[in-house]
Amino acid sequence: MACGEVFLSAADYQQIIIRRGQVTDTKTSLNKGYSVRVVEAGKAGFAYSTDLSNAGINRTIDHAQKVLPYGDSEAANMLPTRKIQPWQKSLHNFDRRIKDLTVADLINFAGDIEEAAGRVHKSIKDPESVGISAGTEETYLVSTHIPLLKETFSYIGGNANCIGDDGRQRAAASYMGYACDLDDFQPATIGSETARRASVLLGATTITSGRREIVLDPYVSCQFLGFMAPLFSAENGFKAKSPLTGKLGQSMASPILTIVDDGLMPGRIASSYYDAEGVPTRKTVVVDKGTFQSYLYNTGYALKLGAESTGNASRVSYKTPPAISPSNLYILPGKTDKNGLVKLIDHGLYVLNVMGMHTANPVSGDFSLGVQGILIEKGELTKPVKGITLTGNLIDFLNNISSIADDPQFFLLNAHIGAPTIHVSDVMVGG
Amino acid sequence: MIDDSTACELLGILSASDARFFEIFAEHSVRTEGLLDSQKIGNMCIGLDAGVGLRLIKGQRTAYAYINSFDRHLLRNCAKQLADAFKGKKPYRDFNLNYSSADIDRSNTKALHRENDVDNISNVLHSLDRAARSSSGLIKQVTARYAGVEQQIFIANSDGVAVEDVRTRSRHDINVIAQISGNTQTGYESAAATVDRGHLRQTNLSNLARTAARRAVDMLSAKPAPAGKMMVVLSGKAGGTMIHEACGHGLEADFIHRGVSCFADRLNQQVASPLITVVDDGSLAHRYGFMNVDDEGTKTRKNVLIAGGILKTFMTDRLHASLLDIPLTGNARRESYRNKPVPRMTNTYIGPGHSKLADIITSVEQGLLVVKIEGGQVNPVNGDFVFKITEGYLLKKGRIQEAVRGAILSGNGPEVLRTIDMVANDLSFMPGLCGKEDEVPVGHGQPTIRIPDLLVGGQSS
Repeated sequence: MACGEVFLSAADYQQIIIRRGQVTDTKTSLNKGYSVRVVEAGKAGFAYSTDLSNAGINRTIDHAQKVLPYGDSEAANMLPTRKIQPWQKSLHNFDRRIKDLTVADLINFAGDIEEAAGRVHKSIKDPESVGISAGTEETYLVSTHIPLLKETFSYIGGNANCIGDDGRQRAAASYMGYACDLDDFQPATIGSETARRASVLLGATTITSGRREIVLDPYVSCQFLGFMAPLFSAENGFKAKSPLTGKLGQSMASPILTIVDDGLMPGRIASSYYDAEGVPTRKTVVVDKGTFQSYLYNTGYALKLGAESTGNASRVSYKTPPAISPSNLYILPGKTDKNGLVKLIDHGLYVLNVMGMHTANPVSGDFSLGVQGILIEKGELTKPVKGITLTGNLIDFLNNISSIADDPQFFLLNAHIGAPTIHVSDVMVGG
Repeated sequence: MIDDSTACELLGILSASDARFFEIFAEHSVRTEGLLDSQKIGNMCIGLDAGVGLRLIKGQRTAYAYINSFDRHLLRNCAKQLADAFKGKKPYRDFNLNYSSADIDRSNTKALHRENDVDNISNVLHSLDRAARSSSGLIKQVTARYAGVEQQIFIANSDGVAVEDVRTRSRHDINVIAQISGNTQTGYESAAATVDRGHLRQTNLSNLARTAARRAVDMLSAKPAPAGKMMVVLSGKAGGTMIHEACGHGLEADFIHRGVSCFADRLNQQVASPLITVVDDGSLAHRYGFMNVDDEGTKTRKNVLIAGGILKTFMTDRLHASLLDIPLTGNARRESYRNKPVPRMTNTYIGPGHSKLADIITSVEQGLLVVKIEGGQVNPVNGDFVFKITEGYLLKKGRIQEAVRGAILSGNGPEVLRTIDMVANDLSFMPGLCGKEDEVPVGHGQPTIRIPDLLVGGQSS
């Protein structure tokens, strides 16, 4: 029997950019689009459009039906059939006040970022750029199997780029922060942190190659976890595209590492009651004390692997069909204080920034990255370094995690990722 | 899309603001794509994305708004709200559109309509899969992707430009996984083109698939790459990722104007070895970055950015050409009507030199031959870059030795440009996607070059 699904998103955003204290850009976005999925005997046809006229809608349905015969029997193309539970507590991810923000309000927030950055270091001039964006989105999902589900989300985000200049060298840094609720938005922190990161890298030199202990700044830990996200996908596990294929229940990392995916975290940007297929979201422990506990599943791959959907079907936008993705994916914080962690290191490197994470290979787990950071010598942060590389394999890396701090931070990367400062005992640093 | 009378009305509304420049960018794009994975076709999709972006510029400030509709009433409101950003007391101006006699040749679309036939896409994907799998028994997985796009645009602005253009593009990607005794390696290759004058260059599917498969299989027996500084020969077959990332972004006029490029204030100075000529050319037929006109309606052309190592010009859009008082170069680009244009590369390459490839190889006592690089990142502020090596070989005493894997190249763009000391005559191009703020298709190329000293971030000392 043929089934169908319709998804519509209507988003309303404003953005501003300020460069060296001047407003250079303002932008208003009204982004509305929809997709149609038709499913029959495991095949699926997908089409999207921005044309909401009757003729446009009919054309979109025709397009979906035209490609339907070419979607081979693929378990990924199943629609969920379980009953939907009504939602319980508020997810605190919609703040009505964000809808009423004006350009002047956004400019004020940008001013807060600039001011905080300017107080940090004499060599940091006006931030090279400060951006603020804010808006709301409504999504609608309905299928032949589930009733109409509507959700609303709000978002406010800020980013800054600072350039430090000590007369001989320039160091650049960027940082960002965001919230679903105005009360959680901290522009001053964005400003001061960007400026701090630029200033500590001034005068950076290089070091010789060798194996070292490293400490990952939370921004970097998050990028590693973001790189790891595809490893936990049930689709990749099933298709042998993950180094974790066949390793459920086995040890894959240090016993102090626990990784959780939670679609119901209050106030978080990726939280929602339902995933992109309409399956209720939940908390899933992916890695439990170093043991690979669970994949992240959608309906189709859960069926293929004899499991239940974990509510991890996600759409990047109305232009893509649902695929497995983490929601809020984070490393459980440890109990160690970050400064205490650094003090225990005799000869190491504090990694502040990495370059090239998107070139890392999630199939083999191999990575090779450009690095900027600060040397750790006898427990103290000493000289800044750059123009060096960090190379290794992910599974070795995870097994060498020796302590995790108590300072988790979240960033919106390829998914919404959270992680604290992490100490890894043995990696190859090239210089 | 939108008719002339709507366009004139919108320009009139925008003219009552205080903006010194304003523009309409209307777009209608249809995209057809398919994915093959584990020998099954999935994710076939036909998508339509259409809308209008309106832009105002006053001084250094840009105001932008877009909607996904061609409805006259909604567009009128959008224009009025935008004009409020620069409230002016000027009267509403009447506009007459002059259609440019530039190419509105729709024969460009014929070839691609056949390609976008879903039946044909299915055949193409299965062909790629068969060719890859038949080349070696060690191939475990093949993922192949096809995407075809027809983008129709209409641009009209306050300087009297009114032009339509159609960009028709196709792209094939293949990712192959080879495995032996628990060792898993991947090989990737892509081919993409933009139609020119009604002809779509036929992609050699068999070559594409076999190259990716061979790369994956070779990587199975590759040794970990060394770590440390060494002489690097970067093959023309790698395409011009290096020049695009390490140098190209620094020559975009917005980065120059903002003072975040290491090439600012260096016009007419020696910024590279005298062997180096760098060109950006949006008029280069068939290359992935080809367009008749850029996304502001300026005709594309060949721009010599660096000649004999001397910096000649920057890539501009209207705003930055005006701010820096330098010529328009036809480099204003945007991903879609959702974005304002900024200076972007089109097809960027290092010009061919006079050395022979064989002479460059034999000249290396100890070093690395890099045949394929895939992806990278650059900091345009100081030119520091990283690139991932996906096919490399040790060079010893002038001979190519064993394959190596798992390394990143790390260096500084301007420094590399200054130190390149041999340039071969084998210019070769590859397609790519450039993600500056949004994503646009680009071509990039270079001949084989010799870099005396570059950091290779490998595993072994």
